[in-house]
Amino acid sequence: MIVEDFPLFSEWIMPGLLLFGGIALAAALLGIFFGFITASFRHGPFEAFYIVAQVIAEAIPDFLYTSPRRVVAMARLAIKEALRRRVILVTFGIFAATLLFGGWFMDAGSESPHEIYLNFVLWGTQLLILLTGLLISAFSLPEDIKNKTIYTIVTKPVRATEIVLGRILGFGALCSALLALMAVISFFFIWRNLSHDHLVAGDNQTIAAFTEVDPDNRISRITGKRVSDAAVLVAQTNNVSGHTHRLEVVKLIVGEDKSVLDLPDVWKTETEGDNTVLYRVVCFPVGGHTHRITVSGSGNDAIVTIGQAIGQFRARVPLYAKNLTMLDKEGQVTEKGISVGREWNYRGYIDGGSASMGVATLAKAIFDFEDLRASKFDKDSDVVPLDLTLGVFRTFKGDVQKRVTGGIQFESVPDNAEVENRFISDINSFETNEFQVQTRAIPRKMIGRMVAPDGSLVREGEFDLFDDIAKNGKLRLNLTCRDINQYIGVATADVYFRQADNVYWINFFKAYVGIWCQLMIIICMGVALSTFLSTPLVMLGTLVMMVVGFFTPFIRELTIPDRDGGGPIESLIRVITQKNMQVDLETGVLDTVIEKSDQFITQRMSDLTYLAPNFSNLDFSQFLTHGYAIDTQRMLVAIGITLAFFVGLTLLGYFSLKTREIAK
Amino acid sequence: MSKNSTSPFVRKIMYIACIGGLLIPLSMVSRPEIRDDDQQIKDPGGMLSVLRDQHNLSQAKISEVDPASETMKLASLGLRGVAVNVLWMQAMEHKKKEDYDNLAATLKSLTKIQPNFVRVWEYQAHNLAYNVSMEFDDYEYRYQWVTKGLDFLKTGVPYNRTDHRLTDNLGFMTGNKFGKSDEKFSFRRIFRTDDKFHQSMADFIDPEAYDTRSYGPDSWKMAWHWYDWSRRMVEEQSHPQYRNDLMFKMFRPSQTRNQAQTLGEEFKTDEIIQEIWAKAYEEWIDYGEQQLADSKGTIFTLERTTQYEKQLSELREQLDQFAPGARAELTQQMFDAYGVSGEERALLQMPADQLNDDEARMATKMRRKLMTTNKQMDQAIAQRAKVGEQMEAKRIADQILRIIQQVGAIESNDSVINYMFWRDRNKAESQDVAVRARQATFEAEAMLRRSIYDDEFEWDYKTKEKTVTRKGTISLYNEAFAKWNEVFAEYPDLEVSPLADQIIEHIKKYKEVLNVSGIDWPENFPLQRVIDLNSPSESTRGLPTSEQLEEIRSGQEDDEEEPDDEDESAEDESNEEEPADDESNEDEPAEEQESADVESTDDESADNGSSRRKTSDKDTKKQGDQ
Repeated sequence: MIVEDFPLFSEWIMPGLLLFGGIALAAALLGIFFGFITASFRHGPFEAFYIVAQVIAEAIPDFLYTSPRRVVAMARLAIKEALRRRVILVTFGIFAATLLFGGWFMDAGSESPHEIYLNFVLWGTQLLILLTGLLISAFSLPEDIKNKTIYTIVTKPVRATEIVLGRILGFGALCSALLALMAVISFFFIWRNLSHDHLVAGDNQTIAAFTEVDPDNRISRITGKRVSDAAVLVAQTNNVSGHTHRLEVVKLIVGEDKSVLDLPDVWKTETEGDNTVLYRVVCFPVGGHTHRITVSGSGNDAIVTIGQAIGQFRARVPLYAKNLTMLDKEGQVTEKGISVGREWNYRGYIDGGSASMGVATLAKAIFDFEDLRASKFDKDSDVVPLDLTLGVFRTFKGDVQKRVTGGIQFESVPDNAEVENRFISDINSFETNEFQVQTRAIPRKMIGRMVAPDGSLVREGEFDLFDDIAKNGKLRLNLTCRDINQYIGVATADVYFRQADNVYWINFFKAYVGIWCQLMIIICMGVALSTFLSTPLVMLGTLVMMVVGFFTPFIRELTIPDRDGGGPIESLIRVITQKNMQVDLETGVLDTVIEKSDQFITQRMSDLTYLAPNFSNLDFSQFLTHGYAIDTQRMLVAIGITLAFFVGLTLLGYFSLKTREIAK
Repeated sequence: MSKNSTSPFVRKIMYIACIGGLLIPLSMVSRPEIRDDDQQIKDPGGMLSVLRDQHNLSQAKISEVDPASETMKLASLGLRGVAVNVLWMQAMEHKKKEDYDNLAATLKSLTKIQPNFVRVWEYQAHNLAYNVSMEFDDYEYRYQWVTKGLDFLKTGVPYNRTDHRLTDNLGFMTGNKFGKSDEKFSFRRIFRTDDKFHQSMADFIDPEAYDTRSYGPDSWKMAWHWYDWSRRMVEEQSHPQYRNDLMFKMFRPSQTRNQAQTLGEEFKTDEIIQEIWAKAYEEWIDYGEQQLADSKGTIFTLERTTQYEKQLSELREQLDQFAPGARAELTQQMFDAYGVSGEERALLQMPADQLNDDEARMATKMRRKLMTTNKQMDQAIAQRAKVGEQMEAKRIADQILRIIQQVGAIESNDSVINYMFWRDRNKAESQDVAVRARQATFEAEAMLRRSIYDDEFEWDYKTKEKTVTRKGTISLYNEAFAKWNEVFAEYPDLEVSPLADQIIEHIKKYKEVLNVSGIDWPENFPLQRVIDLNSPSESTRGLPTSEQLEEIRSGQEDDEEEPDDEDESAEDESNEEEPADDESNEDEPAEEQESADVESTDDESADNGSSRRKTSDKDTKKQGDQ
């Protein structure tokens, strides 16, 4: 999964408050200024001063004495009104129809169908609920004002704050209920569509359906693909949901832990010399899931049963490194590793040395982990899962039958390096698996050496990961590429220790919290704008903000100064005159005018992106689609952003309504 | 009833009635085409359907309407262009961010909105099968993405049933990706067992149709079937042809020879592969006998070159009878006008097979220079005919011009498709001698991989005879080269060809094995002529030519003639060793022993050519003298 920022609420809150305060202050000053100017035209400057002062002064009791009871009453009224408009019903109808026919558009045979299904329901729900929020909030007040039904309210002892808050909360509550209903239905839709099981392909469901592996080339005679080193027999499942799984009978030597003999997927055990040998039936994962295998009976007639999918609905909890440092081939620290010329610079690359340089390379990626505690992992397990999602770049074909090899080495990070001994593990080689989440079981008992601060060897042997190596919670992981002239690409989120998974359905509903935040902002915006604009303008204004919200990163990219091709006016001229981005315009004085105008426009565009909500900060869908737990810190930031918009837009709505004739 | 008093309910009813009324003519004009069980048109459909069908705008037949596609089109609210652009940008972003599953899903939506845009299918299928697949480190994933690309492209065929470019591309990608990429052997191995992929293509090609003989389904045969789809679209269903004849008709037969060629690399050549080569020859000849048109509209038949040339000389003889001596006179004038020297004239008159490379190049240059005038010469001769015979002479001159154009078209196109080479190659490879040559080469390679260079034998101490139990690389290569020599003797044109390049690669391996085993380069190496003909070139670098061998041998003979300078003791030592080696020397000719020294210096002197080698030998000798 792509994770480019790792926010902490504690780090975000202060700059966030400052930005909010700045915008609020600027808006307040602008509001006072325009209010004064408007009032001056109507009543003269002297009178205008008193009017503005009166509005501000009245605002304090209005907010202080806002009655929750009246707010709730107004909210109920808003809900009734919205229900009368039947927008909710229509939305729900469209949603139901979308789910009914959605299967037509989805590729169940894809490598990761759950990603496609989740993207579909999340995107569909987001679009529908935001449009619903926009419609009901945009029509409400302007219609009341137009139909004069607003007088039935303003003539009652209600404050403007209560009208605005009541509408926001009423519409918010109704849409939240609809969103919750959509989330529940979506959950079952996905569950129903992705749940599946398989049968062993062939005439029967027994071990007899398996074929022997050619020991010379380790190739399956059934699929023509490689099999694992321990495989003795191989088979395939039937094709369900557009995929098949490889089944293998693997031969393993049983160690001290004899409990493995009782596992349900064990076919048989044998004795070879002093060792007990175990034959297990293994189902290989496809698209991030595998199936539970049960073997009953003995010999070739043993029946193999393939159960429901495992791992399809998961919420991994990663423990990312606090810091990633990359060293180049000379061992010098580089900002992003080596660039292999990809358009997207998410990953930096480390090389595996080159024949011309005498093979040796000092390039490595150093991941520094903090707060690595035994309590975060399964206590009963003697291994700790380490997930890798590495990139690979080959400079030459090499051995196509083999994936590029990497090496992992662990080091302790003493608090006082001048006094304390340091542990260094042996290097563990592994074959990479590009574009897949690759889990490696790191044994808690590691073989390595303990060295003194002066580099002398203290002891060699076995050390415990948590008790000896990372006893201060700190651990260093060195990742290297071990294939000459090949490269491995890494980003901070590509290597992490996996803690115990979160509950999937809770994670699923957490993703909807992001959509809920977007919904509340749209409703606040619709209600606030509807206090001083007509319905079409409210819709247009909110839609613009929504579009800006969805495309904030793209718009910000457009507003970067000195972009090739210039700003909007220069680009337009280039399009008309068919000049490419590198050619100078050569228009003399006009050139300067165009440049300055473009600077002004792009700066305003940039400002606009800060006024509109950046929906990418409120979108958690990628966590769900890639099977990761949604980070609480991210959720707190999202709720913080929503609260800021709520406060700001409520104030805007209040003052706008207060200054209108109807509210007086 | 006044207008204002019309109740809203009545107004709504009126609107609905109007809408309903308008729907009747609309449904009539857009009524789709209906066919009966025999696919005969029962009803051509309404005017809009007919127009749509004529201009390939959308699916005008009920069976072709894809509900998903139609829903997507409707959902874009008439903004199909905008939706396609947004999706295209999204697809590019997914590709940039290496999110390939979502890229594939976006492409699916994209093509549902504009399914008749052929270039989009082609471009994005190439994107998946080539660009995305190559991003994966593991070849098994690469294979998956190639099949995804092909599957994607196949989805476009039903929407564009009249456009052979999609099936052409399917043929190209199937052949090229599975049969020519770096991972071709692994890909083809998986392909043979990939029932899921074969089933996904079953709507178009029966999985039983791509050669399930002992080797299993073959990717080249699948490619052949895709090109056959294209051929049927154009030839049987009269749909437009978007490529020129030469290429369009060539693709299908060339897949069969590719199949034979790749199978020969994977397996030991047998009767099945021999049969496929024979089939490839038949199909190639069939292609050569078809009438083809080039871009200028000249109609020609590749197989008729000899016939055209014979016809040309006969017609010229006839024409010359109308104006005797005119040709010689005009030729003289032409030579004078262009300043052609006597030597150049002699070159032009010499048969092509008697010219060396430089002479042939010069002759071609001269012919090009004289071409325009030469073409006009027959017309000029016709004008010199008597008044009453001019019509007939003109007719013959026109005929000559037409044939010249046909021969010209064949010559220029033959260099594009290498027709003659493939004809000879297909025929040669289908002969028993070539099969034996291939088998021996394959076996030699297998032994080479196992580093078994020499024969394994059993020695009978009583009879003192040895029986070879398993041939090693050297013997097998010797056998193979002898057979290849027979092939080249029968098809001399192949001696300088890509086939010869392939064999030269084996000769290089053979030479390395000889070096490792300490055996000299054989005196009468059967394919020495092939090395000579292809030298000097990058492919023969490091292999000795006859000239070089001769120089070395003569140098060594000179050395032998100067025994006085040799060190006495060295001579004694060699004499002492002689009796012990007597037996082994019986099998090895003296020349081979002598050239062993040359072999050791061969690699380092390869870059510098024979003169350098000769010098270094002399230098060594000089040092010895000193």
